[in-house]
Amino acid sequence: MTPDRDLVEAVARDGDEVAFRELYRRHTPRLYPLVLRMVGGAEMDAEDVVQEAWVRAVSGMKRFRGESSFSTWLCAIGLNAARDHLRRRGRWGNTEDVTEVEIPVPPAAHGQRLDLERVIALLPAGCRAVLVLHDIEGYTHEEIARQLGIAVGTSKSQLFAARRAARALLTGTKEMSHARPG
Amino acid sequence: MHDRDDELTAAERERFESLPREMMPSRLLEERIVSELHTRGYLGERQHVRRPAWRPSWNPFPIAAAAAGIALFASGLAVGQWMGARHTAETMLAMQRQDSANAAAAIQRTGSAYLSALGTLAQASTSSDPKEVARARMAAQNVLHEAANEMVRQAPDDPVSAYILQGLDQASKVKAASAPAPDKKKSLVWN
Repeated sequence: MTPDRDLVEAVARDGDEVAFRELYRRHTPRLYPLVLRMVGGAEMDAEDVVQEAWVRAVSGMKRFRGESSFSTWLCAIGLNAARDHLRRRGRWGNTEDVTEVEIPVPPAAHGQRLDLERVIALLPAGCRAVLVLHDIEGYTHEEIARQLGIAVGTSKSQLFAARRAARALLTGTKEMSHARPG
Repeated sequence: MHDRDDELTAAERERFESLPREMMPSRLLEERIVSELHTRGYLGERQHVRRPAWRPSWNPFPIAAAAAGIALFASGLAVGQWMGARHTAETMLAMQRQDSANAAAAIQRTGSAYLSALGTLAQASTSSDPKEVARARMAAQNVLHEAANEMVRQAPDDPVSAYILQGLDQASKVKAASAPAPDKKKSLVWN
């Protein structure tokens, strides 16, 4: 198997389409679910963000020095693209704000147990991002803080609020479905 | 901080771990991104998929030309249909979420997308500006080529798609040979 580094070089130097397709097929399966969860499960939005991430990645491939794996580098670009996308849509609020807001639980969900993916999608964007990165992707709070441009303490608070809200939604209880906006 | 008393239980951890870490988006996305990267000039010459190894014993060009004519029209409709399908999927999703406002907006966008695609096609084909007609023809050929490429990928033994690709390649070779000063850079925008 051709190493990622060689493929990256071929794309950056020659605009090699075959090398790009190989990179795409190798790394998109990892990038796509991350982005899909970040944008709240909207497939069309996720595809737009994945496209934006790849365009940014290819345009900046000459800057890829291999200090991290290509997958890590690409996912970081994907996270930035997802955050920009949510910001443009006005769905990425002030992540430092500590005012509690109620999660908009759909009427059909009251008193019902929801699927975990659906619950994650229902969380406010900031909480959701921290939950996805910490509990699904395995990032540390320091890495999340660096990636999302927030304080470590904010990351911990967001995770606490996200888990609390997720538990409430999963068990179908209404009174705990609160989270800090983000 | 809160994390001291908010650890996941074993069952919760298991639930998170059971979520898929890898998923492939629709096949069209790869083509869409490759096309976008070509348009922006980040990728070089377009690569063609490998043709079927066999060759027919008769001259396929007249059949290819006829098939290309039909397919050219069909590809125009397919573009509209693709655009419509994208919005239709959005509509279904919105309806599934019982979000009537989103559904209504998506239906409107679906209709607009169809009308826009057909309108653009019709305008371009009746234009008196030869450059515009040539551009439209080039765009349609590009769409056809991509569609045929995709067909060959999906069904490598399908002779019609292979004929279309062959026909288009021959036509572009003839055109390239007869052109007085071919442009080195060819840029097509497909929105």
